[in-house]
Amino acid sequence: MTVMDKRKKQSRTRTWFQAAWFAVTNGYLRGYTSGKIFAGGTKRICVPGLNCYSCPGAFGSCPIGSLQAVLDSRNYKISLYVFGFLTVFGVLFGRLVCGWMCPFGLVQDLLYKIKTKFKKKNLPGHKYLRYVRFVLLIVFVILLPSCVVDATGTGKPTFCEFICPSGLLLGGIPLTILNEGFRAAIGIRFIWKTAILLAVAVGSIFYFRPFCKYLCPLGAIYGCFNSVSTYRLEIDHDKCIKCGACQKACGMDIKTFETPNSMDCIRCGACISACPKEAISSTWGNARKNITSRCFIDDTVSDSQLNAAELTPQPGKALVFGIILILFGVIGLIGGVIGVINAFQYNLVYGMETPMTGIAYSLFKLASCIILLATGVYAIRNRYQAEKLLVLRERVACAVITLIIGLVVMGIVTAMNSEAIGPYALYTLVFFIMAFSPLLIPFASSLEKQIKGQKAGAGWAILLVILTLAILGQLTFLAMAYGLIPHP
Amino acid sequence: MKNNRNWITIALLVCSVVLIVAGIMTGEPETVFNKAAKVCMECIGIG
Repeated sequence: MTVMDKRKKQSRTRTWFQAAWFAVTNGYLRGYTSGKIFAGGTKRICVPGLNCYSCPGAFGSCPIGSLQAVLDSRNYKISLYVFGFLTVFGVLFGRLVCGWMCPFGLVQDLLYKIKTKFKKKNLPGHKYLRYVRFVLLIVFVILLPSCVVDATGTGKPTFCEFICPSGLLLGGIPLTILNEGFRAAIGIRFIWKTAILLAVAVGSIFYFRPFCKYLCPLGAIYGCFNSVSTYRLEIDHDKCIKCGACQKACGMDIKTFETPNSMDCIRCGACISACPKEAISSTWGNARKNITSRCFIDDTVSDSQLNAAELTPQPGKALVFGIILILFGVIGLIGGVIGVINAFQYNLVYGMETPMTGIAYSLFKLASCIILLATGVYAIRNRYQAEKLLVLRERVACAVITLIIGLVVMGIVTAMNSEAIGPYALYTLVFFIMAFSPLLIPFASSLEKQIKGQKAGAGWAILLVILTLAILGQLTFLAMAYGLIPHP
Repeated sequence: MKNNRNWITIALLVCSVVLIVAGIMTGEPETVFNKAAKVCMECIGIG
């Protein structure tokens, strides 16, 4: 693959991810038809990007809006809660949020794709203008809302009121189109904000992400975390020839080979794909390579140093394990598909406030189950090849971790919005059986020990009994729910 | 250097969790919710 192909692929992947993220965090479809905003419990949680909470589809809150909401309240002088969220997102992602999870970033990226003869990276005076975002953060987000207060001690969200174009684009425009009352109330503030939005939109056609570079207070905060976040860029100085290809590819105009973790870097990844010597890598990318090489590509694994003659194939147990994995995989796939259908039904047909996060969870589950299915088939096909079976534990762990992430997401959202998990007995069955899936890891460990000739203890037998009972119990529950056998 | 940075990351993560918990105990999520669950006129440029 040429460097150009790599760049195109990387750019496409990022755009699709941004769009998918927008769909998941702004998926309250009913809002776009009724002209009302989502009012469920998840609005207590901040989303990472500059995503106005007055967007009709928004499930969460904008961190900058929330920060001002707390600071302009007469009850608080500082916001521990919102600063906590900002620190979590900053430490985990840094400005990866700007590059991949911000809806307003997506809009600017799409506008920059419009082909024109005049394309530049920076505005004149870029060197100084890039500090404007810090001024806006301190003055408009922190000082004015907390210090300029009325007689009741309440301030105003000045950044949202006078500057934020994201609020107008995501909230103002759709709501004024859908709601006659709002249309009638349009005044000078709307015109002012429209002018700012137009200026940013037109600017985005010619300059790369002008709002992120010069005006965004959220980017200013996350930028401070770039050098300590879990996602960092690393330069292999032995490979780097300082050709400047990374800076040329970088929309933010950063000399990546000198300052890979600059606070301006939005982690779009263009430099990684543009480097002809593959000298730039990310901490996440390196971790992913390690995992995939162990779990999915290099079947010989590190245990290959083991003498193959010392390994004892366990074809019977591998067959049983494979069947169990396939069973889990099939059950999960059914649940995943039903989950997606349910979420759409609730959201669109019944108009209930069931978030599209249900779909996100189901997608996690589908991914997990596909891994389980593939691993099950792999176990059965390779049941006579002892060394190949040694990777089962890691593959199953991958699937289980994916599922747990989905369950945690679903659990939080369900609890916050006080929703039922699912109405159908079949769905409940699937949910419970899948909840036993972490047991598959010790199951695989036990198999691995037996292949290596180590003592496995009673683990295998106990786990087999638990898993069989779990599946049989839930099948009985299902049969009762559908009236196939009488309820006791 | 790399190890130090990892420790800073972990320490910051722990601090952020403490901040969120402290915020929850002082009732901040309700303030955020009260603002976010209604249409914010300032944000959408109305009024």
